[in-house]
Parts: sequence; structure tokens; C-alpha cells
Amino acid sequence: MSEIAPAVIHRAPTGFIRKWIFSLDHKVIGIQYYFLALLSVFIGMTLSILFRLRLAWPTEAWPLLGKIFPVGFEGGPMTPEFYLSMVTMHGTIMVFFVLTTAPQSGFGNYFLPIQIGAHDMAFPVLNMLSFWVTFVSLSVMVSALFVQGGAPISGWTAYAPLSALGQVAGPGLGLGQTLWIISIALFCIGSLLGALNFITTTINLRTKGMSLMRLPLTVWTWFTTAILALLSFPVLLAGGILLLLDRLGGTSFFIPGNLVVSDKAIAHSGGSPLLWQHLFWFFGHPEVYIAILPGMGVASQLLSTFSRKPIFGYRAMVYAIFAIGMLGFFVWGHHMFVSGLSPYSAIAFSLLTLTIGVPSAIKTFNWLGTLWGGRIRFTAPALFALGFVSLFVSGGLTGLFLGQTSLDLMLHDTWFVLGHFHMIMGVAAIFGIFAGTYYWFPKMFGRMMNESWGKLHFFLTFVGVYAIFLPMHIMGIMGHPRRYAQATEFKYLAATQPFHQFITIATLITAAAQVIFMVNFFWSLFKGSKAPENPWESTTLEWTVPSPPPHDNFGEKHPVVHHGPYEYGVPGASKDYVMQTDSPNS
Amino acid sequence: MPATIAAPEKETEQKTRDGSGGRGRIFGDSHSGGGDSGRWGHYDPYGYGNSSQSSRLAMWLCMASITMLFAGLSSAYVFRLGLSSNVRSIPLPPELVWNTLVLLSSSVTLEFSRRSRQKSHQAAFRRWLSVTTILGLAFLLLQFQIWQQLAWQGIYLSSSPHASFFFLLTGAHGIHLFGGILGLMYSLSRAWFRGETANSGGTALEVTAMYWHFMAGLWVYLLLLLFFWRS
Repeated sequence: MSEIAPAVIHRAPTGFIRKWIFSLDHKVIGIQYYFLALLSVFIGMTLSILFRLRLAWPTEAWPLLGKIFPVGFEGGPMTPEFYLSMVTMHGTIMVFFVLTTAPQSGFGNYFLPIQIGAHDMAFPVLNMLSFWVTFVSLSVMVSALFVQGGAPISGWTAYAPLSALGQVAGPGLGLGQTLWIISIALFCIGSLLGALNFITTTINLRTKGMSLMRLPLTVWTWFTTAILALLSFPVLLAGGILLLLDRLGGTSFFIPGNLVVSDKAIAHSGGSPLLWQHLFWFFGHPEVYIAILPGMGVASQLLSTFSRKPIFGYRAMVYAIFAIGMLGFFVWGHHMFVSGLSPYSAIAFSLLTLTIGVPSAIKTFNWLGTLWGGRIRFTAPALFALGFVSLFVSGGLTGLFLGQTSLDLMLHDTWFVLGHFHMIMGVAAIFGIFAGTYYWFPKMFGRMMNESWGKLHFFLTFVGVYAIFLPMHIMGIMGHPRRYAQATEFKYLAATQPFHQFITIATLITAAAQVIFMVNFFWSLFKGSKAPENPWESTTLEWTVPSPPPHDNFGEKHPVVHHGPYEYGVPGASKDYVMQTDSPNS
Repeated sequence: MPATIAAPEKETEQKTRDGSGGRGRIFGDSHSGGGDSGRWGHYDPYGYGNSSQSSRLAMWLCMASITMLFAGLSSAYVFRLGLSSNVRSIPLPPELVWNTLVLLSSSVTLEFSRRSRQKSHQAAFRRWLSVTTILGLAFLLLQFQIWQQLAWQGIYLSSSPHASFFFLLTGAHGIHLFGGILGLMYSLSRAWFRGETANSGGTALEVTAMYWHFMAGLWVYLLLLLFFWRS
């Protein structure tokens, strides 16, 4: 049965519902995930603007907002509880439904099968299920905003015991927190189904000639990310079950004895809030890499393409990706240095954390090596890839401050931490998403995005995010703790108020700049110029098929791969790049 | 200047291994069996990535993630009981011995069933598969009875840390086992109603069998953890 024409497994659907809603096609599912993330990022950004207003002008009443959120603006200014619920929902929605969803499930679903020469994922039905479970999860999460008491106020980390106690601990910790936990549990299940699919597909469905060392680096990062998800989400699920039982089943896993909250004695006894922190961060740290690794893959792919040079040190890149992913499982304790952790384990966690700097530095060095001497084409996707590297370095360096115990004692839970993780896990990953969007939009939708608007969007956003997140580091060093709704209440924080106002103004401008992206996106979707098959002169397999690719990607035949993924500037070649499927002698 | 861009450093190395890669031999055997290819699975003219092989790999991954779930719960158990002076509150319910025997024997009967199938003994294959399914259901019923008896004795989910973890761990195991029963029923219905023979299908049964033995092993582990650890 070697060379007969393959039967198409699930034929191209004809009805609207089978084609666009309950689709089995990995490309449609990828687009569904992408739009889910786009909706989520809009919600998350709106929430951040709301709480930024409170931070900059804490006593200002907002009559218009008061009409929309009567509970949150009782008596004029935003209540501190409402502020906390906004912060919680912003963090949760951004981390789970944007940073985990868009780069991995969105782009990964769309491009992993095409880049390895497969017709679809290994299990299309599971793939569809994973999207719809994620969709239900998002719906449950958003519904927490509208229930009695509002959204939870426990932060995206939902630290016990407050998250375990119910309504008595504060508004939003009743039904809102329960919905939050259920949503996260559903998200875990959806991610597990997706991870299963990604790993199986990468191992089993590679086309002829696509050896492991010929995989595009994007595939390596999606694959590694899937392994991280497969092994870390179950632990979050375990924590979520325990937390739910503490709230609904009367158990005391996380609730210590002799607790008095809101002047009420709590009946539970004997539990440990630290247990939640261990379970949460065992998931939480790999989650950081789940968010950032796909961005690294996109940056590698784009920097090589747009500097017209092979990626510098392909093998080192692959090993670095894996090293970062695996080390990520052994560093969760660095989130808990101030929790009374034994100093010996703190030292171990600290050393392992700083070790991650080595593969990260290898990657950064290789990106710079790739750019060195290249004929760089400064297109919009290339700019965002460069921006990714810049933000990755800026955010990564502050990780060295937080990763060792002595400085962390002072910086823990301050705005320094917010600046750090927003730089590296937040906007660096977002830049990875933007880079991927500008780069792959022609392939996904068959039309080009507008370059000039893309560049304008890049420069405004790039300057904007630095304006937002750099001052946070200084505020942290000044001692400003996170989660405070109002710095003006404290004399020693009075000097930080101008920073808050500056950041809020920068936020408003940067958020407005995203309108440029949205207009460009939707305008190009319908009116952009038709995209050719390979507009960027890239080498990987997705650029060998029409834009957008047909239902079964490669039609009747499987591509055969003869080349590595990044063969640019090959001496003696007729053009300055060699496609992976070009004949061996070209 | 641009023309002298460094030659791709890996190029020669990659060219020498032309056409040699792409085989998914990391897990499982690489025989191309599995009559299931063609349902949701993947047609593959080169004989790798067939549905049977992918399903097995997916089941290994599934078991890895379930292992992490129970590892998380186990570490919580060890951590939580370390804080408690009252290490054990539930004495080993005697019915658990019967329960364990039922589950372990169901693993054995499942193996009988698979052997019969390989030898094309259709009747024996169906019979042993039915016995396995009934034993699985019997396990869940017995388990339910044990939970009920504990409740009659006044031992509830919230009574003590040990009781909490007993109900939680056995309950989580029961839910996962129920998934295995659904898998068995699926294979059973195919064997009875679709007249499935030893030569066709089988991937679903193979994968279910992996899962079923895993569940039996997990059960033994949970019993040891709950009643014999730190005894």
C-alpha cells in the first residue's frame, strides 16, 4: 500500500455547522481558538483599563462607569473589592484564555500538522472536543463577573485559605470563586485533550523525510509545550478538586485551625494554605513556559526567515527549548521563598531557577547570531519578532533578581514582580502572538495585512509596553506591594502616585493603538490584497500549499522533505532559500 | 556582503541523512496493523502514524497525565497527614479485600479475552469480555456499598483528613474506572452486534486493556498508600 492515492479520512464538510462550528478540521479549530483568544484579550484589556483608572485617580468618581457597574462603584469611586475582582479576572483571563490559548492551541493547531506534512491532527474529534470544552470554560469564567457578589477577589493564584472559605471571606468568594474553580478545571481538561493530540501528532504523523532534526523550531516549541501541559495541568486539576471540596464538601485540606475571618470563627481545622501554593505553583511555573515557549518558536522562525539566514545553532536551540521546559518542573519553590520554606530547599530552588538562565541565554545568543550579518527585511512580523527578543531579555534579566532568595525577600509581592512577569510572560508572549499573526495571516485567511499600519502598530505598542512596565520595577524597589487598590493611603507610597498616573496614561494610549491592529485585521480579512502562496519566501511546508490551504492540506499526496527548515542564503542555489520539499540537489 | 552569508552549519549533516527520518518509533511497535484506520484516524501511505499506533501512544500519554493527577493528590495526602496527629481514622474496611480481588480478577479475565481473540476463539472472546465488564461493574457497586457503610458508621468526607482522602482518592479512581467500563462496553457492543472478528478492529480493545490494567495497578497503589503507608 505504498503509493496509492490516500482516501480522505474526514471529507470536506458541506453544511455551515459542520464546517465552521463543530468542525474536525485542525485549521478551522485553530482559527476558532484564535478568535476565542481575541475575544478574551479584549475582555482582559478592558478590565485592566478599569483598574488602572482606580490606581491613577483613586478618589475620582466615574458616573458613567457607575451606571454600568452599580455594585462596583457604590458611593462614587471604585470599591477596593471591585478593584480586586477586576485584577483577578484580568490575570485569569489573560493567562489562561489568551497566553495559553492563542500561541499554542491557535497557531499550533493550525500550523503544526501542516508544518510536519500531515493532513490533520491524529485525533480530530478530540481536537474539536478540546476547543468546545475550552469555550465552555471561558463562558463559565466570564459568567463569574455577573453573579451575586461578583467575580472572585483572590487573585489569579487563588491563594488559600481565603479562596477556600466562601462568602464569609469577602464578596466574590462565594459563587464567583466556585465558578472560577469549575472554569479552571474545565480548562485543564480541554488543555489535556489538546496536549495529547499535539504530542501524538508530532511523533506519529510526520511525513517522509521529516526527521526530528528537520522540524521547524515552532513545532519543537509546540511539542515541548504540550508535554509541559500534559504533566502540569493534572496537578492544577488535583488542587482545584481539593479546593472545591474545601468549599463545598466541608473538608480541611487548605484551611488551618483557629482561623477568624471577618470576625467569624471558622470551623475547619488542620489544613495547610502552603499545600495549595505547592500544588498551584507546580502547575504555575510550567504554565509560564507554556505561555512563552511558542513565542520563542515563532521568533526563531521569523528571525531566520527575515534575516535570510539559517537559524544560528539549530541543535542548540532544540536542546535549549527542552532544557527550559524540563527545568520548569523543578523551580516552583521560587514563588514561595517568603512562605517559610526550608532555607536548604530554597537554595536548591534558587540554583535551579538561575540555571534556566543558561538555556535562555543560549537562545538569545542564537537569535542575535542569526541576525548578525543578515540582510534583514524589516517587515511588520520581523519587527514584532525583534520586539519579542527585546522584551524577553528585559523581562528575563529581572528574573535573575527574583530567582535568588536574598533579593526576593525584599521584592516579593511588589510591583517589581508585576513588571517582571508582565514583560516576559505577558507582553513578550503577546509580541509572539502578534508576530505570528502578521506572519501567518496571509496563509490563514488568504489575504495580506497592511504593512504600514502593522509597522505603526508595532512602534506604538513597543514604546507603549515599555512605558507601562518599566516604571513598575522602580515602584517595586520603592516598596509598593501589589494588590493595593490605593497607594495614596500610605505616606511612604505617596511618591509612587505620579508613576501610577503615568502608567495609566501609557495604558490608555497603548490600548488605543490596538485599535489600529483590530482595524487592520478585520479590514484585511475582507479587503486585503490576495496573498500569494509564499509571500515571505519562507521554507517550511505551510508555504508550499495555497493560501488558505485546502481542506486536507496537501491534497492527494504527501509532501516529501529533503531539507532542513531554515536553509536560507545557500551558496550556489538559484534563489536565496531552499524549500524543505525542494529536490535534494537544489 | 549578503552573498557571503555563512553557509548553514547543519546543512551537510542534514543532507547525509536524507530520507531517513520521520519514523515515529519512539513508542510502540511499528507494525502497521489496526483496522481502525479510516474512521477518525489517519490514512498514511508510508505505514507510520497509523491509527493503532497513535491510539496506543495517546493512551500512554493519557496514563501519564492520570499519574500526575494522582501524584498531585498523593503528595497532598502525605503533606496533609504529616500535619495531623491523627494519622489514620478509618480502619481497613474488610470488604475492600473482596473488592480488590474482583478488580484484579477482572484484569485476568480481560487477558483471557484478549488471548481468545488472538486465537480467533470468537465465543470465548465475547464471554470473557462480558465477564470482565460485569466484574468491573461489580467493583463499582461494591465500592458504592463501602462508601455507604462508612457513612452509616458516621464517617463522612469531612470527618477526618484520612476519611477525606479515602473518599476523594477512591472516588477519583472510581470515576476513572467508569471510563474504562465505557471502553469495555464499546468493545463489547462491537463484538456482539457488529460481529467483530479476531481479524478486524481490536485497537479499541487493546487501548482499553492498557487502561484497565493501569486502573488495577492504581487501585493497589491507592490501597497501599491509604492503609499501609506509615502504619
